[in-house]
Amino acid sequence: MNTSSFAVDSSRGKTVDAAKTFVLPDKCFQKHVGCAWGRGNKFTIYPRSQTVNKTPTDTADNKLLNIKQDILLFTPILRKLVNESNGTYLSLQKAAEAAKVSDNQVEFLKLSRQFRSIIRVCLENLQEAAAKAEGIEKNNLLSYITIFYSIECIWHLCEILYIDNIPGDIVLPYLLEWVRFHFPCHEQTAAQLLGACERGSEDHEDYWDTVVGMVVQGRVDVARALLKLHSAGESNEFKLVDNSLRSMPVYSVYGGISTGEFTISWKHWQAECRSKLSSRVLASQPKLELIMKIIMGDYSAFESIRSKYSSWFDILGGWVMFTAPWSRRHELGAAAAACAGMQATGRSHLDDMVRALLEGDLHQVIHEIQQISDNGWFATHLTDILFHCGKLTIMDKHQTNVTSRLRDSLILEYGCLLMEHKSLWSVGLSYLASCPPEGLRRAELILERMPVDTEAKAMKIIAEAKKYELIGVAQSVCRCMCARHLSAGRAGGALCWAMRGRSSAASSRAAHAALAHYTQHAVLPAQDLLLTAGSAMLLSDTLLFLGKYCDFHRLYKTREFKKAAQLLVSLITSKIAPEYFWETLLLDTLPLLESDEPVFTSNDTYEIMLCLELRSSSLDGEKADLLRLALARNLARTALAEGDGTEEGAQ
Amino acid sequence: MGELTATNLFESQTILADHKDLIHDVAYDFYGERMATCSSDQYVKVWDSDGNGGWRLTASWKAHHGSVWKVTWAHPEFGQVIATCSFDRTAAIWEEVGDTAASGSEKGLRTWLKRSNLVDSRTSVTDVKFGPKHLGLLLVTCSADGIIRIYEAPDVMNLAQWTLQHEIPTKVSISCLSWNPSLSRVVHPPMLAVGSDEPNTTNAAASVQGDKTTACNGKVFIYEYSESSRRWTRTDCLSSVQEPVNDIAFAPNLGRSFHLLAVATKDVRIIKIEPIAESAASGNNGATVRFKCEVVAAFEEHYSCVWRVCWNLTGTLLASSGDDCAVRLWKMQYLNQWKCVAVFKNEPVPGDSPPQSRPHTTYIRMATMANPTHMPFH
Repeated sequence: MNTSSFAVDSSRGKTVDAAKTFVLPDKCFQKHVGCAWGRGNKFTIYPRSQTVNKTPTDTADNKLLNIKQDILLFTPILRKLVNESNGTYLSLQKAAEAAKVSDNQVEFLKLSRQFRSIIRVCLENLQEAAAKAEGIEKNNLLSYITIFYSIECIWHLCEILYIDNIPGDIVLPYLLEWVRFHFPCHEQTAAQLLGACERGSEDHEDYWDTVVGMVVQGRVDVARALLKLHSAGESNEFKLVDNSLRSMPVYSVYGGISTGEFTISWKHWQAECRSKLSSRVLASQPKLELIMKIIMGDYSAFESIRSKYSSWFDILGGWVMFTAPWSRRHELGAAAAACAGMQATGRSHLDDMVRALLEGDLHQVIHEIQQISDNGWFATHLTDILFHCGKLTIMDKHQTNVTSRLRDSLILEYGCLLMEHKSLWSVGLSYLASCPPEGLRRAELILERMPVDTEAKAMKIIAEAKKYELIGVAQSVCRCMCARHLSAGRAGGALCWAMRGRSSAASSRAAHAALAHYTQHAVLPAQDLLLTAGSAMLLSDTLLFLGKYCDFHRLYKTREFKKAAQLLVSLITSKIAPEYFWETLLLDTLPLLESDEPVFTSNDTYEIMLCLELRSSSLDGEKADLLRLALARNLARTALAEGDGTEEGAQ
Repeated sequence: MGELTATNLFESQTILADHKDLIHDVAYDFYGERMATCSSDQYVKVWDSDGNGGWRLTASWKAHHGSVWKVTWAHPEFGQVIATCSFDRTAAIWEEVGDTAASGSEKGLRTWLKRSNLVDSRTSVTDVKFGPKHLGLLLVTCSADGIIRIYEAPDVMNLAQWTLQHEIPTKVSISCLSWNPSLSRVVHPPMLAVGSDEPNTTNAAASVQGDKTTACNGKVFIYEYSESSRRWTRTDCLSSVQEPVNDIAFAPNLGRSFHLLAVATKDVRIIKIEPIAESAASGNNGATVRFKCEVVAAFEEHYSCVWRVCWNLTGTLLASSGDDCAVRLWKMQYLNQWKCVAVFKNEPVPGDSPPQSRPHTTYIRMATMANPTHMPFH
């Protein structure tokens, strides 16, 4: 749960993260309660009492309550975001690896843009879906849009301030771009008015707001064009303002002049504007006066238009442009404070985040973005990219650098979260694997406990485990699958999994089950597997015995009786057969003893006889007698034949 | 700002357990897909997840002749096996028979067979836990008369046969125990922590002090198995815990060099147990100090007796429940500080009754995060 991962007293002291209290829905817990964790973020609360001798009669205390966190990222529509950002995240890790030897800022910028475009695509999808949806569904989608919209907005600003490579650090053009992109106020009206290109446009109710808006957004050309559409556009007052707007010096790093020189011409221009204003020529046109005041960076003028905008971000670009156009990117704190201070009421969460960002307090920013209910998606990815760009330095109270710990903890949280999802788990695994060593230990714990509902899922888990060299997990999954097949009475499947997991204990268990199965049903499971198992047969004695016994069946079926008999005798004499299998093993000699050609030598026969007498308890009387008879007959036959042989040899 | 900050959304689901008496324990299986409950009505019930967040009762049987205190699952490698312990002075091993893999809807109720009954205790058996699977199939029980018993099934195919390997008398009433789940046998020998609920009377204190080797007033004891002497010995007693202990739980190790132990006593405690290297271990008088123990957190927020502590799978969150009828979640921050992140509480006012239980009750609404006017324009 990413309610908050911070415990640092912030500089502004406004983020006291009191634990959130959730009210349980039923009044089922009057006395003591207990709790038990399930997998992932699920847990159960149950009523409980430890009083041993009292027998409470209140049976209402009898409801279990399962609590689980609802995870926004698991909404199907956000799946694409999760998957695609994972790809970008992994590329970023590679880029960071490469950046250790060479500077890689351009690559980082590219990846940051990639993240943003992923968010934008996601937003488009959400908008599309929201247009179709209704009711609660629509509300949900709209709140997702709000969330991801804010995320994109902040990411963009963050990119400008920390990731992008800005010539001379002169942030103004980028800042204006950001304002125009995210707070496109009046843009449509302006386009409409210019498109119509009619004189007397001031009749449009938003005319002046639009002109002022364009000035505030730094679109001086558009503002001038709009002013020309005024019916009095040719008057002196308008020409005066137009002139001032036109002659405004624009600072550029590539302009070939130093900041000092620029400041001189800038001051000069401002003085000019001031004298125009104080000459009271504009007194008849209060709106033009306002524009002049704005471009001179007059605080009260900005304050007066603040209420027309929903937030102070709208006027931030203009404020910087008309008060300190040479601002570098880390000098925006004062501007932010000035703009935010123009209207003190109604601070939103986004306000706080943007303020902190402009003040360069990344620690605070990360703290704030963790409060967003995107389950840590934003905090994780932004922290990671800032960390790799080397722009993030977070100190604890002993002034040790804990940045990497913060980054790791966020990634681990996020990875673990995704691992709970039934199809996103492999994505989560890739996050955990990028955060060794703890990530892999966590992955091990979670992966081993992934519910295995099908064989295919088991194979998938094993493949993923092997990818990250979690051999222990792969083996454990195999053993569990083996146990599951065993308890279901499928010895063949169990054998297969035991051998796949190379587990000696499990394979011996499975082999026992297969032999036991044979004694009852006279069918050997998984014969093809056993005949081709190769070195896996050496995993356990029982398995080896089973394999040999299976081979005996194969020889017998292909009528290679001599070889079959030899194998059988070696199985009998090696005495590795389990107790319950002796009966089967001894009775298997019967048809061979009765064959037309004798296949057991007299020595073999003696051995079988010996075993039969040693284990007389494993055969009941009638069967034993039958076997004894067959053995005796075979002994007679072979003794005779061998006797002939030796006599001939002797002669 | 509080209400503008996004909150997490929790979903709850009520299950009517239908036990005829108090429920004492709820345990999830290894995968979190099955759930076992036990109660004073002497019954044990097993619930299976239906894959869509619902739970279905698949077995219910009378397991003991007394209150069933605890229920615990064995590793699935050993099959579907649970152990229970009871006031009737026994612990029992149960195995599910039949095809457990088949999606059980057509099967109806499943059958659990009693494979073994462990009758060595002369008093109520208060806790039972299976050992970490790398040690084989081990089971430990503890009883009110303070004897810890460790059983082993030499043949995991034969759950009827359990041999009593060790019997460790502690001389105090033991209420709970926890295995150290650390996988590394080389670094950490098998380890158990037990908690005592012995009330703090002078009598009890005296009897503990009578145990000369470990004169200590603590209520939590650490036992370790020595490969060389083939014995379990008490290697530490946590003197920081002086009040009766109701529950105890080791956190998953995650490859750390130290162990974290959560203790439910008059407050919630998290204790860091760090093994000291052998060379530095020998203290004065030849007595060895095995661990450096440090209370890393002690939370009094329950303002009452704490009954249960429980770690999540990765040991990043600890849930605790107490007499105040609240469940609290504690989380370790990246700077290793612990902090409460959520509290789940009953409605404090009995007057306005909340709506009756529905199958799914979403009761925490998410607040919108930013000003709605900040929506994209196009």
